[in-house]
Amino acid sequence: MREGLNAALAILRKDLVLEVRSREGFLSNLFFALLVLILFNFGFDPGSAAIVEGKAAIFWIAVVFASALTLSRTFQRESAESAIHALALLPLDPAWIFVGKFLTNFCVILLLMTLTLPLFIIFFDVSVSWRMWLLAAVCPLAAAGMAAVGTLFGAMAESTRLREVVVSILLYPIIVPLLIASVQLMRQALKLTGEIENWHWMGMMVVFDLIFFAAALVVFDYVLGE
Amino acid sequence: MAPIVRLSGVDKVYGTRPVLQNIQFELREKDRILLFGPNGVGKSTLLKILASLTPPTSGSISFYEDRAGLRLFRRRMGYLGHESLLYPDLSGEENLLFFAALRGLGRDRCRSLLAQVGLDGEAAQRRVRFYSAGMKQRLSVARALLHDPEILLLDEPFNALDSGFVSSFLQWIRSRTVVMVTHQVELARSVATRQFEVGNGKVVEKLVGAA
Amino acid sequence: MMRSFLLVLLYPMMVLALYCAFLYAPREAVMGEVQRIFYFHFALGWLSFLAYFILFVFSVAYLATGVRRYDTWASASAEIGVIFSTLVLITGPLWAKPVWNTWWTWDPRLTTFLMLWLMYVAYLLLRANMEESDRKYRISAILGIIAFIDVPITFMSIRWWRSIHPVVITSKGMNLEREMKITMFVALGAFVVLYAVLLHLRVQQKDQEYRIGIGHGGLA
Repeated sequence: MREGLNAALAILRKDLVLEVRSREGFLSNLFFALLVLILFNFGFDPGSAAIVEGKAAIFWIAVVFASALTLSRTFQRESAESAIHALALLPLDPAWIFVGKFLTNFCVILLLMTLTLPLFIIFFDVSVSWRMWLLAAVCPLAAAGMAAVGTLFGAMAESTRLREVVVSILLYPIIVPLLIASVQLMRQALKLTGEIENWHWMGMMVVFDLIFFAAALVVFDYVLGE
Repeated sequence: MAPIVRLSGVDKVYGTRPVLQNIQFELREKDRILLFGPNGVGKSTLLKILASLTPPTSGSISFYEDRAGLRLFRRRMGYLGHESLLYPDLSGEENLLFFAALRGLGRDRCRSLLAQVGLDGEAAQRRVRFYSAGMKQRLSVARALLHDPEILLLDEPFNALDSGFVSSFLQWIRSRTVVMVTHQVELARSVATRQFEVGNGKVVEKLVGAA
Repeated sequence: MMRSFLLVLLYPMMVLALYCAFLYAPREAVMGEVQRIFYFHFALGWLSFLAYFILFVFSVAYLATGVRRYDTWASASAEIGVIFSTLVLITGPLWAKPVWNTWWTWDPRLTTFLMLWLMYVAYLLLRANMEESDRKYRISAILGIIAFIDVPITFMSIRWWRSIHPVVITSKGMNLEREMKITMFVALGAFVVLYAVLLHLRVQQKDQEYRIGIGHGGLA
């Protein structure tokens, strides 16, 4: 247990160092999120009510699109020189490798959300209020769910042709429940809607996160090896 | 004593291409085995199966004839792959420190090993991306030997190494259990106790000295 | 042997299903003739679920045993499932437009079905993007399992989502006469046999493909 946790944390530390060293990867993803935010604006008439109504959705679509791109990177660096073999041969349950990679993806996606949020606030003229504290719960829950499924899919998509596309087409349909919950809670945070059952949605996100984290832990072993 | 690894009736198929067919193979303590044969006949695949890196398509593989033997095997085994198994954007030292952290080993072990393979000083701080082929191979060797394994599985270990390093590496190999895949057959024969020719999906033992 | 038995069963059952749907079942009072498409829509819908359940079962079996044939069964079932559910998504709007005056509505059942369809198309795309290998079979099996787990969660979340907003149109409220129910089950039976025939055929085909591939693989 202790050994495994140490290994997972070592993987996290190493991955964060590599993310910083090849930061152009993350920055491109962030830029992509910005592009999505901006492009959506041109889909509506200037000053239309529809864009006010839909802005919570636009934020999450931008985040989901950009996150999918970050996910394909985490295992790419493991396979570049087959370092994943060295990880697979550790005298540990391979689930710990998953945990390490999950933590990396969680941090990267959460950072992406945190940096996209101010851009969103500016371009969509969001008035900041105390209710936005709700996002402090929603963003980590969404990031955890996407990281759980996405880490598994990132590992699966390694060795496929068109890696980025494959991660996206696997990820988007699966995380629909997460997307619905995030958008509902975001609308609440932005005061776009009356009281909704917040706990209900957060509970659903927690369930989603736990189920897929557990499922990915169990099957991860089968992703390693040729 | 139970063999370290036993393959019985192992097949490996890549897609529709059978690489290994019905392989019987045992690795015992203090065996120093050379696997040779032309390119693309499945030597590396066999080594990966022995290393527990890739499962056979069918047939059985056991470690110490024990269900829990795999973990013990992985604890005792060092693997030197066809690729470097390193991170190009970490320095030599950072690479070793990372793999040491995974196995709960300390900084001192990394330092002394780097010195042993001649990568101390400036070279240790340089990113692996900027290493020469020889330096990279030395670092790969250091990574494989990091936890002082008693069993070594080596894929083309002598590539790009200078003769001085090779002879000390061979010296080191003499006291271990080893499986080597290499084209530099003469070097390997100087330490090998058994030889197998791989080809046409089969693995055939050749008598030492007969070749 | 198995297939000729199934074929002997299939032809009369299909003819019977067509007879029931177009002649035996009475004309639906409100919806009119167009309602007759429902019998096939309904049968294909359930068969899609069955196909996906079979995919899930064989995916688990493959991961547990590593027997390649289980992957063949799983992927064959996925292919048929995608065809069936595509037909469901085509017949649905054809029926909905004249009856509900809309091609599509985001109600929980329809939306979940659409998500299901997306996931299994993704399953086929994933397979198409990988070289034949044990790893491909393992990874497909993992997706078969993950997608199956996702279906109930998706359904629940969409139901909650819809419950916040008023649902304009529901797919409930169709009173079925006895003849209609009989027709439903005849159609369902016919499509179960059709599924079995297609599955069996496709698995045989894939086996042959594999054997031919092996023949060209180089080793005797």
